[in-house]
Amino acid sequence: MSQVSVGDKVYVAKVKKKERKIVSLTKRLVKSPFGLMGFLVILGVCIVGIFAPVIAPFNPVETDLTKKLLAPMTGGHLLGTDQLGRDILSRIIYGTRISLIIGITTVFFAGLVGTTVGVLAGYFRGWLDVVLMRIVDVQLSFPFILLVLIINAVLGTGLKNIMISLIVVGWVSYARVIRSEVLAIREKEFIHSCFATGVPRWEIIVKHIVPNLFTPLIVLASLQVSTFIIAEASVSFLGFGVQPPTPAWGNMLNEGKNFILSSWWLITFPGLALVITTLGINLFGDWLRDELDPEMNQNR
Amino acid sequence: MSDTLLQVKELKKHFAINKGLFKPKAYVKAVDDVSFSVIRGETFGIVGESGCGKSTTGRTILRLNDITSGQVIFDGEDLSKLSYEDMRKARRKLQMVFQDPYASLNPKKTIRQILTEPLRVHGLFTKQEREEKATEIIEIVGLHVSHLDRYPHEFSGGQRQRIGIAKAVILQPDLIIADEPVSALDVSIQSQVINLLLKLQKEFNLTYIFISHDLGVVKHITDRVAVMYLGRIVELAKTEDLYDKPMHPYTQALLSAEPIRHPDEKRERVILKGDVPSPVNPPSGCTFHTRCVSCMEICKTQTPSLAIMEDGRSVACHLYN
Amino acid sequence: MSTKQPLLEIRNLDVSFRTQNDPLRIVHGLSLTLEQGETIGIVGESGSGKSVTSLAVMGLLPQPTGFISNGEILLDGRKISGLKEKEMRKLRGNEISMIFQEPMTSLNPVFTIGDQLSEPLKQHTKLSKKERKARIIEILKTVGIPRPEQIIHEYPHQLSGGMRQRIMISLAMLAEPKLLIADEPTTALDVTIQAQILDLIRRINKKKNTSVMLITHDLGVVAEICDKVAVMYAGEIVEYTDVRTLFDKPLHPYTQGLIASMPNMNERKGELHSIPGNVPRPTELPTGCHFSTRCTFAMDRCHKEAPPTISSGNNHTVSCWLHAIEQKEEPLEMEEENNVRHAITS
Repeated sequence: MSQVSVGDKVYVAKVKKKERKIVSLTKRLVKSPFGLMGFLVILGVCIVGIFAPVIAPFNPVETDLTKKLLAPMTGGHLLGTDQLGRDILSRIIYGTRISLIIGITTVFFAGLVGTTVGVLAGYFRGWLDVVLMRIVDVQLSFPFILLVLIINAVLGTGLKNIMISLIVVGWVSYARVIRSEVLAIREKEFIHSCFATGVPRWEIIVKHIVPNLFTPLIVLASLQVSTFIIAEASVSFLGFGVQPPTPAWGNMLNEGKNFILSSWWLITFPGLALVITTLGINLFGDWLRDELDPEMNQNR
Repeated sequence: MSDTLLQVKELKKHFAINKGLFKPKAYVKAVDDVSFSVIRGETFGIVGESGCGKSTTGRTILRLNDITSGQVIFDGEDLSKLSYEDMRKARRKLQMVFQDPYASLNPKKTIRQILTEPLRVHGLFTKQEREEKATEIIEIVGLHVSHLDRYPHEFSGGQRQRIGIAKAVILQPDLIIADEPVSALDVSIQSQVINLLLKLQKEFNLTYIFISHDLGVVKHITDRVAVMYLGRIVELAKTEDLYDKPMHPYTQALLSAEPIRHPDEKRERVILKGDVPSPVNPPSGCTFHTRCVSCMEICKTQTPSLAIMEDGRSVACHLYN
Repeated sequence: MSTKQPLLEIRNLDVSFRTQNDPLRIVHGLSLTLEQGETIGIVGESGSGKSVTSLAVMGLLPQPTGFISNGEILLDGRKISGLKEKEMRKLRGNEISMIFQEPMTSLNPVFTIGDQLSEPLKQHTKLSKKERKARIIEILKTVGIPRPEQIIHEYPHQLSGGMRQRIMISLAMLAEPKLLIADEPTTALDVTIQAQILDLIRRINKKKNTSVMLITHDLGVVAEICDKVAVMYAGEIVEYTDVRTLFDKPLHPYTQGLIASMPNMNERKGELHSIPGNVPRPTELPTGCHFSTRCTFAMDRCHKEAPPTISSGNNHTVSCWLHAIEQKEEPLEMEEENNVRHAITS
């Protein structure tokens, strides 16, 4: 990092040019233990989610009261069974799908809404900015999870509704970050240069500002995925989210909490799945942020 | 009378700064009542130290800032009255070259995209013709066709500035405002870029407004110069006249402060006291009176106006009234 | 061949930076000497290694990437390259001080001017609080700061660029160092302020007999205050002489080009003399003479072999094949390249 002050910019750029960007990014990922770990976790979770029917040893919703509350490693149930005799491992595997759907869709749509709002507010400023940002301020002053619960209470429970509520609550943090990014980019000389050339406004926004937002967007999104997965789990834990018998990590925790003293495995394994997944995403997100941050990147 | 291309009349640009919710707004008078005209085919220089408003003047003429008041008459048309869209179209004839070649090119675009964009947004030529124009211009500015598909970061500062100049020239504008176009470049590269600007001026019959703090460069390239201090023009003259015999005490100090060319050169230095005052709260009367060696009583109360001297130059100083 | 010991002596210095691949040599074979009370200018463009050289003398090479890969630096005859950080810290701000280009970033925005100035006094002296204050006010007066009693309670952002640079100079001068290193001290300032600051540096140099090492890209600044000059290009000194000889009789084509391309040296509106090409990046230096790709006099040999350092008398040395050939015709003492390099310093 310290090389910045000495080696000139030109030479830094030169080193970067040698490898194609993606290839060099991959090479650096392999060299970073935490980033790589995060990446492998995400890869694993995705594979498990997609191939759940192939991987899961049992049907996750099939109850068998004769086999209820079996401890791990008994009766062919690697992680044991729950109070209705369902295989915990299979339920976790299927639960991955819920988490993935929540993580990817809500982040995408919240990002879309938030980016649009942020770009408009940051570019046009003035009253539009004031109105939009006060909405954001008001919304940010509510605790995140409380707001999700309120919206769910109105809309009702279920996967679709929890996704809607997460999007409605989640766009604000994008709007905030993107707005300040746009404010900064707007004052860059190359944007002034666009004005001076006579580039139309919409083209400045779409072709010159938005492409320069990808870096903060990727980073923000990668960190938001884990927030949203946890939010879904919390809502489901509180009984507002995905309804039984559909397996989701949150409602598994919810059901398992009654047996926490007698059968620890009911709550431990879905909890672990949640922790490992979010940790993996966070590690990867942190690494990505460091990689894509141009200031951090100068020394490469 | 020669052909006037641009006339700036009583141009003002004041920036509002919020000092707090309940305090009255303060204004930075970045450009305060500036008038001059530029003749077709000449190079008009604006010199001054940082914060004197020279860059803001350039940007305000192009309406990169809103105009607080005054007129900018370009080719008979008052730019200050144009709608956003009409101004956008008018920019085909007025282009700008920026100071920092590292910041003024979009890092995510190839040189080809950067060079064809001006033509595209003004609806000029077919796609193929635009590509041909880009090929043509990149060679004119001394780069190679193979550079077209590269990104800005792959170029050195001097090469980037060539691209920035190509981008302005490709529209064949009448006027180019060059805001410190060489001051971010290495010494050995500066003269290359100045030569390029001179060559293009001949080739395309361009008119330049050349904004710079570098007295040597301004002396070399301009026909007439305006010296600015705290948002106002204090002296405007033919370049030779100004450098031979500066009249305003500020111009005298500025020229004498320039580093010598040879260790044996002796120069009478007018060392100015103190720093440039804040443009938020400029001194009363002549804004230069706080640092002026020939300050008189009248200077503290009355603002001198730009008066025309015998040799055709204008000076804003009570010494000559 | 001076009998007294030079204040600063740099012998055959190489500075390299660790990169992902091989270490990159930024400064190569640099030798120079600086007597007590002398001012030396180190001139070069970005990437010429001039700033790195000054950081090496200060022991402030960026860690852990930068290191001295060859040669040595002596201060008052004592070897200071390779000193431990703790010992180096004793030297810095005491015997050697440095001022930087951007005075805003070198001052800590959250401390008052007084706090920042008393810090080195606390470290290097045993003065009481009152004595420290008196000393600070005295030094602020000498660098031309008006109302020093008030200024010590102000913060850096309340001052203008020129004032901040004066504060930096007073900070550097507190311990009355023997050597002041100024890295582009006026580049960020306006010409009228530049004249003031150069004047101040000149006065300090005369009054306190402080040696000054001035890093700059501006030949005008060199002409103003330097006694001798080292012109650097791509990490090497290409010409080394006293300031008058440099302007009157530059020998290296690069120096000649630099001087010829100053706008004042050319006819108005005419084409400026210019050095073709671009400053090479440290990763892709041309073989042979590093300047060969931009040199109008380049011969075959220049592209293949690094030029020797030739002495043309009067402590004037130049690294260029052109002059090597001239010397063959009227043979003086021909020496091996390395010997010549050493000869400059002795």
